[in-house]
Amino acid sequence: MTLTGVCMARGLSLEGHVIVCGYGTVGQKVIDVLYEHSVRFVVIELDPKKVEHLKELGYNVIEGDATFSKVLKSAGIDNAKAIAVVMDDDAKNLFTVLAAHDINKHLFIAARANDEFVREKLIEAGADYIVMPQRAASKEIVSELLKTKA
Amino acid sequence: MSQHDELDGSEKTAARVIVIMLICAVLLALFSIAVVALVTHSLYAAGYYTMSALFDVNGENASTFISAVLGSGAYSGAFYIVIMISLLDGLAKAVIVGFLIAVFINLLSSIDIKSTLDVITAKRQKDHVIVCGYSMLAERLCKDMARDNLRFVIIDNDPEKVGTLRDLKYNVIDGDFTQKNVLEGASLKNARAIIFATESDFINLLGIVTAHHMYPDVKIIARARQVANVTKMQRGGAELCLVPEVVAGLELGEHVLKL
Repeated sequence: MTLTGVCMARGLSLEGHVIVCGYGTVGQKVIDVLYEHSVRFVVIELDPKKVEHLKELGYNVIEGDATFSKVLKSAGIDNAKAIAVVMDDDAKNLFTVLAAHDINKHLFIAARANDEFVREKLIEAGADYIVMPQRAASKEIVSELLKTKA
Repeated sequence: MSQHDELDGSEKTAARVIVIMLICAVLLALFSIAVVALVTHSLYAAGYYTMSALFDVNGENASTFISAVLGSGAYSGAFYIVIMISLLDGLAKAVIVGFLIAVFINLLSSIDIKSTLDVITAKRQKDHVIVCGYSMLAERLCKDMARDNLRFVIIDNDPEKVGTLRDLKYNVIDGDFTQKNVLEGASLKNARAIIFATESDFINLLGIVTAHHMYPDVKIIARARQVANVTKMQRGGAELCLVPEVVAGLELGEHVLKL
């Protein structure tokens, strides 16, 4: 069943689901993994074109700015298992983490950081797990290099 | 623009001063030879004296030489001429020493010692990793490689970045890695791997094709911004091609699954 943002706002909420904020490259991959493993999720995206695309794919989607508590609530943050805050903008991610942590203290918050100094701020704001694209890629490359050495 | 002009202007002035100093030095030396020749009636002795006094050959200087000449009784009432010649030679020496120092400093400043050393070090490397383009990814990568004791050399053509990297004591080559001679300079032939890490897929692809064409056996690792370009890079010769955001997304997704 496809739940749109309107439906969610009307109370057709999910439970134990994952909220994915931002449908960029990172968000797409997170969704791929969740979808493959049949984990229920809701996507929050600001770009109407992307929202339309997600709807066509049959995903649960909410059009809006994830930094707003209202939008997070409409995605069922109170009953969610985890939230993945993976927008391109570090500042927006920080705001969203703060908002999410304020609403649901027990929520597992995973966030994306581009800059090293933002990482600490995200943790202070309440994030439980941070992913950094450059760091993740570097880890892969170094392990490949060490394989070559052996 | 104006700053550049100012620099050009000051360089021209410095060059003029150096030339004027050189001319003065030569004229003073000639004048010194002429005066001593008049006193001693020997052009050879005058030339020898002037040169040895100017360069302090065998401890010769104006007073010792004049004393020797005058002691032989060739000239009487020598006091005034000794002072004059001493002053003249002191002046000539000051001008020549100044000129030599200026030339030496100019020569030193024209040689980029660090850059030359880096090029020599890079050429001698073996089993090293070449990092092309100092991006955010490269920054992280260099830290990780240093931690794991992997030797590496960075190629970048941004002077500001090159300066920063030298301050960090990294081995850097200032150049364009899409040029074969630059890759040869980084000893690509003996490298364990080459990593193209710029923010531009096009430039990375150019580098991949160049490196693969030169030494097909060297492992090529590339970073892509667009997922669609991964296939192109692999076709160009990249063995491992990754989009950092994709790696991050998969990592995060896998972690959430464990909850």
